[in-house]
Amino acid sequence: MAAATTPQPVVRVQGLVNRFGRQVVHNQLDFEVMPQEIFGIVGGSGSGKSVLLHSILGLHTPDAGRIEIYGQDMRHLSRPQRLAMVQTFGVTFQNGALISSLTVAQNVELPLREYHPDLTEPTLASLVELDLKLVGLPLDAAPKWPSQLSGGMVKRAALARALALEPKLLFLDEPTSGLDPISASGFDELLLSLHSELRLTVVMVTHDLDSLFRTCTRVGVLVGGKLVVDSIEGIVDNPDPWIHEYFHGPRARALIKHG
Amino acid sequence: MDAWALQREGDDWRLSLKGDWSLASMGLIERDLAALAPAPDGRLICDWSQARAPGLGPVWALLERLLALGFKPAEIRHEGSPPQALALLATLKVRSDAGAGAGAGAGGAAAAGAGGRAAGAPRGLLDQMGRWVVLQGSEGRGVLEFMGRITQVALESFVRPRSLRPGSIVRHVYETGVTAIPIVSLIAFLISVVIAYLGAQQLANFGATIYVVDLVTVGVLRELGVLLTAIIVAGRSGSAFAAEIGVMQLNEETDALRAMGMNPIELLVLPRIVALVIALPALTIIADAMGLAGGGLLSLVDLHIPLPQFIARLKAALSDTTLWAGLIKAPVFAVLIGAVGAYRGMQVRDSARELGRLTTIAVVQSIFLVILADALFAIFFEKIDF
Repeated sequence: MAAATTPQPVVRVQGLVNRFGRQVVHNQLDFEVMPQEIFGIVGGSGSGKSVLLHSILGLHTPDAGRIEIYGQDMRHLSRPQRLAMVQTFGVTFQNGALISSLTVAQNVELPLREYHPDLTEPTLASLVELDLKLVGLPLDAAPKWPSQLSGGMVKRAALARALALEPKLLFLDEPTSGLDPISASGFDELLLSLHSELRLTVVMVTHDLDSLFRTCTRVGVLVGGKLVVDSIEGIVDNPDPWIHEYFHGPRARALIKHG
Repeated sequence: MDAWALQREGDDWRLSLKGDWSLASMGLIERDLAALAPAPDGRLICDWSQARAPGLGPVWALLERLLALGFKPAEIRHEGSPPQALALLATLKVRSDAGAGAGAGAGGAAAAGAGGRAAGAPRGLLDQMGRWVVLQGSEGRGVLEFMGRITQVALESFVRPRSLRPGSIVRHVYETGVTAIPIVSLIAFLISVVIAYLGAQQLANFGATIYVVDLVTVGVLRELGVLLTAIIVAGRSGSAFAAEIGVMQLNEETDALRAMGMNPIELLVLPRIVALVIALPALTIIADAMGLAGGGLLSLVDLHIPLPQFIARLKAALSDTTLWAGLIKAPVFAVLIGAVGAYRGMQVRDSARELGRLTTIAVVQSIFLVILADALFAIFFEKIDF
């Protein structure tokens, strides 16, 4: 595994605890993501996948624990350091979260204008063109409003915005949910090609088993407040009843048989 | 700092790329590249050995520049640890330039996107006026259609009272009426204190300060009580109606209702309007009472008119119609505020910006219509001697 060559993990979560009232969502959760992995996070509805992702991104302050991205804890950074850190990763949200009052091109330009104010308009246009092509969007999508896009195009436009600052680390929240199987597998292929071409590290929350088996190098399953991490082959044979049910339920069986 | 150095090597060009080539230096690199202009004869060798951390954007810009200069992709060779994604970028670049001028089109499209919904050529005055008239015409038709649908649903609910949604009406009476009592009371009280104070100063010139009571009574009961209440309610509840219904539009909740065979007008609009028709007159009565109290307090403290004398003068100033001339306007204002708020909410489409724009319009228009209607009432009452 990639761990052998580079010992420094990209994302490291140690002793993460999240509670809501008396409900403990994460109980001393630990895991690491190594460079150039595609790390899948799965779990039942309400098991705390989104809270985990939000904790890593610094959108939610956990009750306890340490979260490091490239060896730095976001919560202990000064504002300039934090802004520098934010530029090292890209994020896509479940419903795209494109700004509805901006066109697709303006959405992609948004982080570029914020962090590189010296770029000229032609340069910005050229970079938007690059990002749209990277994610396989037709160029006539650039002047469109988010409400005019199909679900698959929204996901791709969100990915283009996440890639605009050329991060090496991507967080994807259910990137294939709500897509038809052809669009979803198209997205998987896109992710794999970007991963190999751009040497990205990807952390992906997903419920799409096809996508999980196709793309992920390792998988973490949220059960009982902990993350059980293993390779795809290993996790399928995990004895935990919930994990077994997840990967051997009626919807998963066909995939494992063929795969 | 130059991002490149160019040398002739026999028939070939050797382009050495130097310094930081990451996205952070994109601005500098773009400027330096504009000066790069070798004649496109022979091959070009790009030497990446001195370039630090080449990023996608700068490499993309270099390829763009080289292609623009007339180099063919096959004539460009890369040496000395070229960037990983070079092949991908080259294919993306070639694919776009294969479709004649598609690249330029994209640049133009993106630039047009950056400019927002900017109009193409400046239009003539006549053209703009024409567009405005057509827009107003369709607006007017929309308003009429909306009022028609509300009337239809309201008439239906007389036949079928169950469709009036009493639970929803009660909730909206609470939200638009009960929670507005403190602010309406306070404003009515303070304004009538101000009116009484200013009036007393002027009337003192004639030694007629006792007529402050008439001024406050007639002013508050006929006009100020209901007008102030309506304006406050338009600001509080007109905006809330537009925003609530607007967000439901954005979330496709209204579409979901329609798909389930339910009428959003019946479910969302009518209960709000009915609730306002109940709440606004009630608030007006409270505002009237607080206004009179304010006038009475100022008369007592500032003018030394004792309360019994104030009340006696108040009774003399009242005619049969004074209270009703104010109160009768309240339901009309309520319908105006509720209908405008709901109508603007139903118009929200697609984006958060629309929501803000239409909520603003809802408040401004409902206040304007309330004042316009008040003026019409004033003329009408004057003509019929009410």
